[in-house]
Amino acid sequence: MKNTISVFIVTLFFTLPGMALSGNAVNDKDMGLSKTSVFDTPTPEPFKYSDKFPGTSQVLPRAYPDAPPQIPHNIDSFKPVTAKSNMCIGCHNNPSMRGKTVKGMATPMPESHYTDRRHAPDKVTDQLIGARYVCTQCHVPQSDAKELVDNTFDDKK
Amino acid sequence: MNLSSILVITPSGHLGPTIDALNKLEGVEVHVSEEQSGRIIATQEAESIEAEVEGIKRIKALPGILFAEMVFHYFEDESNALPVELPVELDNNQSVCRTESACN
Amino acid sequence: MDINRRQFIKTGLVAATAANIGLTLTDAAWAEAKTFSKDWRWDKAVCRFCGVGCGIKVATHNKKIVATMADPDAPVNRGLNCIKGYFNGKILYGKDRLTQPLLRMKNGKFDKQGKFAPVSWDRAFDEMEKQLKKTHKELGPSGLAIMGSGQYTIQEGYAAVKLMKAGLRSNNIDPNARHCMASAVAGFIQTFGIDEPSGNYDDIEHTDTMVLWGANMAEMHPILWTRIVDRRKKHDKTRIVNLSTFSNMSSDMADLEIIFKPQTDLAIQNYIAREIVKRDAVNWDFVKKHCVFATGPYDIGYGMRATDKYAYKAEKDTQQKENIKILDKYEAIGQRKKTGESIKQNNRTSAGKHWLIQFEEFKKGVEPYTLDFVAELSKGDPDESLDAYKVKLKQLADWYIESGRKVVSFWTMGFNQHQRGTWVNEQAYMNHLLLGKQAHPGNGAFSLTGQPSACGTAREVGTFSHRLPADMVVANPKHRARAEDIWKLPANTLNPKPGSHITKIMRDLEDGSVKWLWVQVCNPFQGTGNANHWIKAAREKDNFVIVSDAYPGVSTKVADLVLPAAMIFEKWGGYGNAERRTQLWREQVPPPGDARSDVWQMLEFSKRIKIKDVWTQQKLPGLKSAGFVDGQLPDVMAEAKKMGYSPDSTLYEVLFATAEAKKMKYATDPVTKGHDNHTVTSLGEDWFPEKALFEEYAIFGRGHKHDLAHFDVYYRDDVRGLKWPVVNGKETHWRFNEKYDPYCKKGTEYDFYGPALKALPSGNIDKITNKEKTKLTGKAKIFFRPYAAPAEEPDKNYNMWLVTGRVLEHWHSGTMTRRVPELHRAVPNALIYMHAKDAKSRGLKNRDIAWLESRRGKIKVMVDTKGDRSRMPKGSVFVPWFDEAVFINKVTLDTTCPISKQMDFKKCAVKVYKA
Repeated sequence: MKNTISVFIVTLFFTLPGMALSGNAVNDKDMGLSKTSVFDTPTPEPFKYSDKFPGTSQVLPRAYPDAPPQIPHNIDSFKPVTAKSNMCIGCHNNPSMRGKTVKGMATPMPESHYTDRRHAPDKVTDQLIGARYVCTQCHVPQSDAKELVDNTFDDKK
Repeated sequence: MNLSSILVITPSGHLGPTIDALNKLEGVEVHVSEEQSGRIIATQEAESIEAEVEGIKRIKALPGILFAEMVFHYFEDESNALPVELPVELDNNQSVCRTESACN
Repeated sequence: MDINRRQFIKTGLVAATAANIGLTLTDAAWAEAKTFSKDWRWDKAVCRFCGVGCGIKVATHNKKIVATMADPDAPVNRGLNCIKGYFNGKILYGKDRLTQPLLRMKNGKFDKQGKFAPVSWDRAFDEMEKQLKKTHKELGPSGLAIMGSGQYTIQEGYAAVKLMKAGLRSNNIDPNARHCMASAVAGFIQTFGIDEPSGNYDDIEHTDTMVLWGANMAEMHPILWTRIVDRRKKHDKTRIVNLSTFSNMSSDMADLEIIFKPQTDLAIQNYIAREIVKRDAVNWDFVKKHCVFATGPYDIGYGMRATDKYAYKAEKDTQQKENIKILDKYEAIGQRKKTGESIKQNNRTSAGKHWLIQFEEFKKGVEPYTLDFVAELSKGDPDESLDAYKVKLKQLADWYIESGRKVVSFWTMGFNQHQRGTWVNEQAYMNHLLLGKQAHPGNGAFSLTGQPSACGTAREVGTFSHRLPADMVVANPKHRARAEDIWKLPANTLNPKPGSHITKIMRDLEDGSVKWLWVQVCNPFQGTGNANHWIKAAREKDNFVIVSDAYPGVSTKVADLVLPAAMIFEKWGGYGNAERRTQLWREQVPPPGDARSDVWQMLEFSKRIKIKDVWTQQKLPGLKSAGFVDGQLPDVMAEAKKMGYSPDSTLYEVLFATAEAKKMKYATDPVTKGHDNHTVTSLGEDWFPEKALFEEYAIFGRGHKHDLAHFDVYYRDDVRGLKWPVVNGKETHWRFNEKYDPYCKKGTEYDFYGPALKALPSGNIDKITNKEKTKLTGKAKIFFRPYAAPAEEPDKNYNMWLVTGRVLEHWHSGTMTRRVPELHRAVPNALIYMHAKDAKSRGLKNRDIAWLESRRGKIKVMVDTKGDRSRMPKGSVFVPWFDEAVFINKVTLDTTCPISKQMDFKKCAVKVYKA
């Protein structure tokens, strides 16, 4: 008899949180981007950027039409972009190929990058516009970090 | 500075001498080769596009070359960098060692 | 090209070639040439993130956002966005959006220790009402508080101020913008008598020199940075200077980088001023006609609590400096005192007082700031030679002073989040005014902002504890009377005692003087320094914390009630950017589930409070004001009845659904163009709250130097926002300059017409000698402010400086940007950026995990020594604050500028060791 009671209590003890969950109640530590209590001190997860050389990686899908492409290759040695040196444009500055993509070739910058929209919005030039000089303000490399939560944005609907 | 990669194909048995010949050319460096197919990947440094084209001609003229073409090409266009002219004593903003590679 | 880079590129070329001839690249991933679909609806809007205020266009289809683009017609950004801006559409679609109210419950009842259970809006408001009435009864209006935001839409901020100040009669409403630009505000008000910049972003295309003082614009204001780089490329004379405590992305484009020690920007500015005086470069024409000289007390503390009652044991030594400061060598020289002198901080509660001085006294003030003194004090990189550093300082002064060279100084958090933030803002004006390089195209000191409507809402609407709309303040009886008149309130309804600023609200929560807190449009429990105190206060003290948010974050985790909020494009709204540009947008898509706009939340909740609950006599501890009984707010019910209100009138009826408001019908309004308004449908009304709130708010500013255009004008297809004051349909490009500003008196050329603090006593450099006030109509003030040492500096135990901030890819506490996979993958965690040798001497290398510890708390963080983004001088570390798992504000210090009450997130002492 004694044994039965204790088994019963144990069962109740373990099923209560489950019942609460089925009622959709949620513990604060299970919310948010890091599933810990605000009083905890989590250890950061390691992550790695692509180690692929330029030319060996595949173009990443765009978030939506005309979204800036992300950088699919390693750029460790290209950073920082400075006033004296911009290694990205060594491959991507190809005015005669503006807007075209050719397999096996660095994606050439599109017309927008050769158009001074502030001072001469209708003229496409052969010179990269200063406003587009710092590539990493719009184009960023991607690491292997896992999404913290799913995103349901969809440009095809 | 212009940098390019060049694919060279040689007939069988010709790989070794071709690699030696390529490495003797100024600015040319062989990186990868494959005995079976006779393929070589080399890089070439050149000051201008004209020099680059001349360089390819030079390779094509080597004995026993079946194929030599430029595949990838990198060049730094100085006109795209920002014009920076400063007093010499100021012209070394980034000279203080703060990056890992510069410090080690 | 250096040899390493050349080798790297060669390797890359070879790899690419090998891949191309041998391995096959699959075609699947190559970008398909997708185009915008013809069925999409496009509409203009504004970016959700920083204070730059870029125009965007939003495409919707089937009630979802499907794309955004940078608006080519927007003068701010001309068809360009930064990496965050391109993801405006995606921030709405994180899978864990809050879609229903959540209340901590046990056994069907509210319980502070309970788990969050989904409840209806009715149940949520029932609990809010019950808890509000309980606290109101116990503590009066000062027991209630709202934490607002520089991300409030104009209408939200206005509704919140009105609900709190006019309805609940509490001035405890303060925005997180307090931490963002309160020092800029105090600097503007003290210098010009009116808030907000005189210039605009076109200054970039007009100037020759851009000096960044603690503003890493390349990362924090990327689109302005693109304009700066463009100017640099087009105009040979252009020079860019980056002054910072560490080397960053802005340095990469700079002609001159100056790395200084934290807080010594105060000394560098005085060095420039001294040079201006020494080289006889003062523009006397300008100064005599338009300026006066002024100064104030130095013994003003550091904005900490005066008592150590709540301090952890380890914090007590830092806290002591709030009351007594022993002067170090540099402070002593800079303040003309003796090293080791012990200074009681007598003016900690009167930090803002100031008086007129003569030029000769000003000269005495700047005299100690010689090149030798300032270079020795301020050099921030131990690896740089003193001589090289001196050359740089001199070059900086040369460019400021060079005749005919136009100069714009930009700053953001480096100046504003500063234990002497107001002073250092004023020093920027000091040098521009001395040179007459202020308030015309290409010349001026230009304070930037960090939040999208820090200017438009927090400042202009006045969602601060001491403010009312259009630069008015609660302590001024004339200002209260004007607000009571516009708001149709009985006289003396408004509370004359300034409420608690946002840091003080946190402290009030800890000491039990605030027990009902509503957090709106911000994440203050992640964003406030010394956070261990505040998260504990929220969770463990007897109080009720409500958090309205779109996503769960640190603040929702410590809340008792969570309210699901609509996001930017799910509601009608407007923002005002840092160049005074007001931009309005339409609701584009419906909010998910039961999420609702903040306007709806406030209006709906206000139906539950009757004026007889709050407009009767109320206790208000500490109130002392002319016309009021001490410690009491008067009963105004009798006059309310005369005005036609019934005791049972609700705050909703009295404040929001007014006769004027109800005239503006949504269905027939010409601006709606088929767009929905869920606020209207959820309220079950037919009037247009966002328009009614905007138009009523605009009454405050019209004719008072803050004129806004009518609501409808901002929705015209040919309008991309307008810079106020908008007078006779025309926006104002440069203020205080007669050529551009219709408010300037004719014939003045320059007219610094701001009305605040324009009658001052006079004295010498140290004290007031003549209490009689002089009127300063049309004048700007040139302040002398000395160097003051930081409250906490590295010592043997905590031996490094910690500076915090943002990164390009994430915005604020990361609740939006970290839910965009592309942005998350770009920068997944907050890292600790440190010098490779500092890491090595602690047994650390790149990507190791380290402990970061201060007197206040410790966290674990991953080390970065690569130096391709933030390059630290030895002895300093940088950690961004976007990452809730790297909770850096557990480590930071809650000192503030004693005048502005803005927190200093840029300097405290820490130690770093291997985890």
